[in-house]
Amino acid sequence: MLYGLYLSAAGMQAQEVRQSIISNNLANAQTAGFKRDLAMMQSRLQASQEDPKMVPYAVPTLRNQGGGVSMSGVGVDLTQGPLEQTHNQTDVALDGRGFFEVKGAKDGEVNLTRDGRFLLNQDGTLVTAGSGRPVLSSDGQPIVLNPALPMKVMADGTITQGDGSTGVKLGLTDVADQKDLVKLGENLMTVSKKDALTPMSGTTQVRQFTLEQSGVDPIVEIVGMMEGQRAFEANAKLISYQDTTLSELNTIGKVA
Amino acid sequence: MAIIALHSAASGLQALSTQLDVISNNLANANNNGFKSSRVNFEDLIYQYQQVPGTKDELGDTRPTGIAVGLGTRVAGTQLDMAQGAPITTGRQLDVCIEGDGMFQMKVLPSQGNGLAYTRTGSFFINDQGNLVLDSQNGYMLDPQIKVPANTTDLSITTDGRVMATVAGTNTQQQVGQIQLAHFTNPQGLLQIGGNMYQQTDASGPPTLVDPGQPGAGTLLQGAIEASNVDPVTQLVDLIKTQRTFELNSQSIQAADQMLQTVANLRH
Repeated sequence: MLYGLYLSAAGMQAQEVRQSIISNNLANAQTAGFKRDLAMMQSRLQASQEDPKMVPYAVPTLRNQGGGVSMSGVGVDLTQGPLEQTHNQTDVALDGRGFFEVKGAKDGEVNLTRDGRFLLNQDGTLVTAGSGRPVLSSDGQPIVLNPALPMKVMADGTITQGDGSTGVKLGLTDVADQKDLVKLGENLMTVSKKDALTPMSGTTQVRQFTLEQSGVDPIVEIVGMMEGQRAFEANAKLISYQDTTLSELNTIGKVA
Repeated sequence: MAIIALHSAASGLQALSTQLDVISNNLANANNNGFKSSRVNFEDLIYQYQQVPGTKDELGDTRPTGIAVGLGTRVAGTQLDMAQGAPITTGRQLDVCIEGDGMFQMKVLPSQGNGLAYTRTGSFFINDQGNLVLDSQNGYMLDPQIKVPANTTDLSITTDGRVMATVAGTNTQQQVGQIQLAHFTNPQGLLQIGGNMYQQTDASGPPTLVDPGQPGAGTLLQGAIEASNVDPVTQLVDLIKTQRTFELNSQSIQAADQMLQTVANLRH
């Protein structure tokens, strides 16, 4: 009886986290290079399996009782966002998998981003437009360009200026398993373990004068939100029923 | 609680209303010669980790993913679009359009920054002293100063910035000055002070004054003026996107509100 009360409460909690994730996705529907988060839920193991050390339940039927639901994690959906043309020569987008490498907060740390809104700072260093982090070359060094000359970015990420003799390549990397991605805010990501980074696949193209828009699809999010809210309400209703049942029990037990 | 959802949706509404302000200003300046449009850059806020990836669960298995709840969005900055505006031929001798990068350097009031400001609007006049001044309310003077002789009948400005005057009674042109253009390492870091004027900041770096046609500076076109680079179509598409995304975020607020109401009504 009481067990069911907790299962319904767990259902409400999971749906609430999911709703927060959807809200964040919708809030970032205009954030360049943003990748939507995916709330992943799983049914919990039966109570007896979840904690084998626990004293076996006295009532045998309870041993096989399901454990309700829990959030198993949040995945990052790396689906390509729509590409938008701009006038800015330092706007670049990745068409395909992969990330741009930018300098992390600590020395030697590398962060990843899909947001290619770059610009040249006062020293001529290529930096991210939002947080001003230096964009790294394939050698892991900041990229310094001559602001007086127009720049051209090739499909493989090579930047040339003027006569095209000098070429520096944008640092690009891919992540083998997107479960290793950790979002940091400011459109930056990092990986939870070092060996998660893999070289770029050949099919990804770098496009200049282009920006990748947010990967959030409002239809998917609104449908998820409706679903989540109703599941939340259904769980709440079950809590109410169980509460009513418990109150009935209390009246039966009352001594006249 | 659904409070996180409420706040991230609110952060979306705030950022989007800033975007609406910027788009409105762009559209209001769609006919403002020499105007450069701005765009709003969004970035996601920090993530609240309820569980970091890689933690071990009760059975000793490593969780492949963490539980991160994002806290919404914010405006990372507004960025100037320094793209060239179309040259409009006016035929007026003192209208000068810059084709390419660079800006005219103007003397402004000493109290404004370091007394210098920069503009792309090359609509000049000659003041009572014979100096080239800008068609602005304050009549800011071009720097380096160019003085036109009093009895000039014809004035021509070459693509490389030489100002040639033909004085009454002569048939030859004499050079009376050289227009120079200021070039910035990061023009998008300039401070917008209104009146189509910009001032240098630490982000823009100091200006480099060069003759038109040199690397980093465009050439001059006399008898034309640079139109606003606001593209109304792009702005209207952005306006639609902004308004609809605003509505979507208000849906998040409604959903969160109704969920809170459900919780409040749990106990009878």
